Amino acid sequence: MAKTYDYLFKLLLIGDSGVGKTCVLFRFSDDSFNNSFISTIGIDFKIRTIELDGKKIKLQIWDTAGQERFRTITTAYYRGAMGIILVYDITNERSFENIKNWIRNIEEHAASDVERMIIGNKCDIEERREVSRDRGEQLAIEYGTKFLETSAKANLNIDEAFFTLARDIKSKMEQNEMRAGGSVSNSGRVNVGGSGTQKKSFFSNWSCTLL
Amino acid sequence: MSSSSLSLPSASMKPLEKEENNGAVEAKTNEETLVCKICQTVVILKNMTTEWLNEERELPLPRQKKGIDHTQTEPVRGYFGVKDIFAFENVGFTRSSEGKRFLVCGECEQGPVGYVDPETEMNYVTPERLDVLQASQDGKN
Repeated sequence: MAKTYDYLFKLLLIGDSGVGKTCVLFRFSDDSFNNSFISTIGIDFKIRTIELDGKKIKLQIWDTAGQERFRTITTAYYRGAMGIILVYDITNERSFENIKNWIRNIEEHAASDVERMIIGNKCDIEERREVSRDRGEQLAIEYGTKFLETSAKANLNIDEAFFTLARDIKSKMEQNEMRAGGSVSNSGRVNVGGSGTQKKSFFSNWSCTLL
Repeated sequence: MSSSSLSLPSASMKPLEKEENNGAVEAKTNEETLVCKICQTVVILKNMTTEWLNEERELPLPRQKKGIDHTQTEPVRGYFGVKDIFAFENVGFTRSSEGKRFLVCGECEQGPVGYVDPETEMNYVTPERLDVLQASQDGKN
């Protein structure tokens, strides 16, 4: 079968346990039923399809749930990863402090050119915030990564996080291709405008279940 | 059962389509785009699958009653099969439960909408747990 996409990116979500999984699947919960089957066994990975600058991109996104202790995550897990989203919970100081440990783990075990991004996820109410936005930004600056605060409930910035990371990987790949291919007819700059046309949330239910 | 009746001319008159117990797998693609019943996200575009499995399989119910210690299931018949996981637009793969992995909507995680055959690693998705993309929506991403 003909290839029906332009790029395939493998992304990983890492971070402490509980940075989002506590507020799973609101839309299914009612008095007599729950979606206990799926939430109990958990999701290994997802395939999402997005479009960036007219290119169709398949994202294969892996969650670390069940093996959240960074010591247990080693080279095999990172193999082939092109992007890593580091997640902490803004209502959990410890999860924020552990981002440094996670980054150390990445530097030890992942490819050196992997794209990284830090996300402060808010699965709970603002009044319980323990980590200021400023501290999140400072940490991102320190490690030279992008930073976003996301909210699953408000469906805020989740899509943007994935789009941003995918766009960064795509730009890097295209630059590498150009370098490899030699002849470059355009300026080498990549148009990164396109994602605003998305009508619908691609990742609206993610931060609870996977982040 | 083992008689080679297929070679007899009369055998070809049989309506083979009705013999659901034999040759349950046939080469066939999904002629319609399948979307999640809950959030209408595209799970798989049309013409992406390669076979049709006309058999029943037990699938866990999307909603389980609380306070029950076993997984409630129901028999669901009919699955489109595809080997390549990247044939899907938006899908989630669960972790293994009693040796089986299941497919769910990649957006809202509704499901299971199918399963992975542990031996062949074919991915089977059932239209019974999905909606068909309506013509008016066609062309949208």
